[in-house]
Amino acid sequence: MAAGTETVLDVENLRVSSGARGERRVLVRGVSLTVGRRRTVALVGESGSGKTLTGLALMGLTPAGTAVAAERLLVGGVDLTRMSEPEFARVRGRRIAMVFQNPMEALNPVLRVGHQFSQVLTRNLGVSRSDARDRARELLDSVGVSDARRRLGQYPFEMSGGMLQRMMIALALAAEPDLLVADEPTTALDTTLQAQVMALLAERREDVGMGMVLVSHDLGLVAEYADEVNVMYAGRVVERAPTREMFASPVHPYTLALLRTVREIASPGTDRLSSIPGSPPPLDDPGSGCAFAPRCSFATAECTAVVPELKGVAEGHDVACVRSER
Amino acid sequence: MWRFALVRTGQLLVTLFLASVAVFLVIEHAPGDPAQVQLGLSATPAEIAVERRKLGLDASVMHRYVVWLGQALHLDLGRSFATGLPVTRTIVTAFGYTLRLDVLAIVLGIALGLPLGIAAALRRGSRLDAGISAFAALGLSVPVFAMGTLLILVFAVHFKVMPAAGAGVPGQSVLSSLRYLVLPAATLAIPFAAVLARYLRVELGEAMEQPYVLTARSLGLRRRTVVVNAWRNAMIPTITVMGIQVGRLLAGAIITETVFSYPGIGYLTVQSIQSLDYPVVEGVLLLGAAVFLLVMFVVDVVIGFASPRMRIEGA
Repeated sequence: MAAGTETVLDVENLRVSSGARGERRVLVRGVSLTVGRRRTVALVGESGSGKTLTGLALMGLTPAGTAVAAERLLVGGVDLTRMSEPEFARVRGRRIAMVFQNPMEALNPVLRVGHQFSQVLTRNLGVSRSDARDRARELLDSVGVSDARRRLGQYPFEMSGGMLQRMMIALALAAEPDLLVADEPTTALDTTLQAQVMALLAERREDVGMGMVLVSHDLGLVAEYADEVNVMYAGRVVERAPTREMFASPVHPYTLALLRTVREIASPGTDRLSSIPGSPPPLDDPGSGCAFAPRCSFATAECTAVVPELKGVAEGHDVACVRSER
Repeated sequence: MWRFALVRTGQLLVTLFLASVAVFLVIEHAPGDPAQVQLGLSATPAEIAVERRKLGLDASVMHRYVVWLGQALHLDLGRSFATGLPVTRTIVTAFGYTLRLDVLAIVLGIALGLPLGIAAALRRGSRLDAGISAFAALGLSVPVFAMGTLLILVFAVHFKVMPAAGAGVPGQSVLSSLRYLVLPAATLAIPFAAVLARYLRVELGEAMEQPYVLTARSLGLRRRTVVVNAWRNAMIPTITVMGIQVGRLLAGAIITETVFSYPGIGYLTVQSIQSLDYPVVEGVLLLGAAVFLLVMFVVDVVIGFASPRMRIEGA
């Protein structure tokens, strides 16, 4: 990260596990991330790579029955590792917020949108209900929703997905958090809306001055909007680099394969889609050694013996692969 | 809204008409002769013939039904064979008793079932949840007559703190008439609470797993706010189920009222059937149908308010 940029997220060795003590299963195996103010760090990977779970762990919102541990989890300089649930609830929506994949299901179907804004604003901004109404209108303006007064009187099912995602962004950013976790924020939207919503997020990131963790499987989106990319596989970060470097000179065989699937779509003359043979291992059982080894065309005996650590190959570029260590 | 009410009223009238025909036909084929029942076994055939004429039973079923229908349209349901009193008045009196009993039973049932259901939903899999489930299973599986008898034995016979039967005497104080209601109301309230708790446990449990709950939490809302918001969703299907329970209660709790000799609609139903008191049987069954349909109508209106989607987009 560039010197002088304030760090808003500093997480070291984040682990998520589930199950009772005797049969504990590890799902996220030591993820470390640093996000600076007004920077976007992407988590990419296939479904089941643990990227969404990592996002939820930052929010303290992993499903019941899971446990989160980390050496360090600082958001805006505040340590979240030792917080009780009521304390954590006060941090959510204020220092750290999240936008989810499906805006059609994100709001409560039986409450007017205005009521839901009121609940959030009175809680997070400490304003009165009538002030909350004014603030809600300003917030809707800031995310490009017109006719705010009428919209606030409506129910979620009366609105489109794009409109609802704008509302969700407005709610999440109402208290100007230090960090926003955006989990596939445009995946459920029409293609034409995707660019609009991403542009809105980028704009609001600048205005609010927050950092952003962008969870996505869409490499095109990531190439355009992220400053740094973390490729996740089976609960680990296997490669991390500044976006430009990642797309110019990927090192990990998994990253190479992932990028090939996109490039062949982009380049004409190919009529067959490339895919990575096999499927990722279950999160809780990645096998011995490198989890990607069974699908890797470069795999050797060494690969199944030890789990490779993330090691620097260039400035800000780390790779977890035995091939890169030579 | 008015259109809806009009349609429902039409449905109600059609249902009542069909129910009245069915009741007339069924009771006609019930074994026994009302005239015989009124006069006793020592009556001679001649006396019975006179009594039948007096009760209007000598005419054909068709003729009797048309006459009855004509009077019914003026809210006159005839006179009871047994007491000679107007059926309408008899039924209204009994329904007053049933209404009083049921209101108390429903209030008790909600007061017990609502918190239990919510607690079980929020702590699914805990010991508390297991305890509440056990209570609910017991409340549902113990037959009403056993529960009623048990309550009588404990509170009326052993501790002598509550009356065992009846509704007291006319003109008594509110407090003493309330005393007669406690045991039968508790008997009705326990299964009511059990159904409510079980239903709410499932519905609220599911609501708490919806994406909007995760969103609400991600926005930092207090747990209490999150639960209340989810509860409003869970109540929509719950209201429908509880409405059916209320409708059934108001149609007369036959067993409970019989166990406690409580002079409500259920008790009246049993008595009138036993004595082949055709006009009263016809009356109580029609009242039951009407009340049930009316409650369902109220439930639909309540759900319209609870569910904006139904209200705005129509059912």
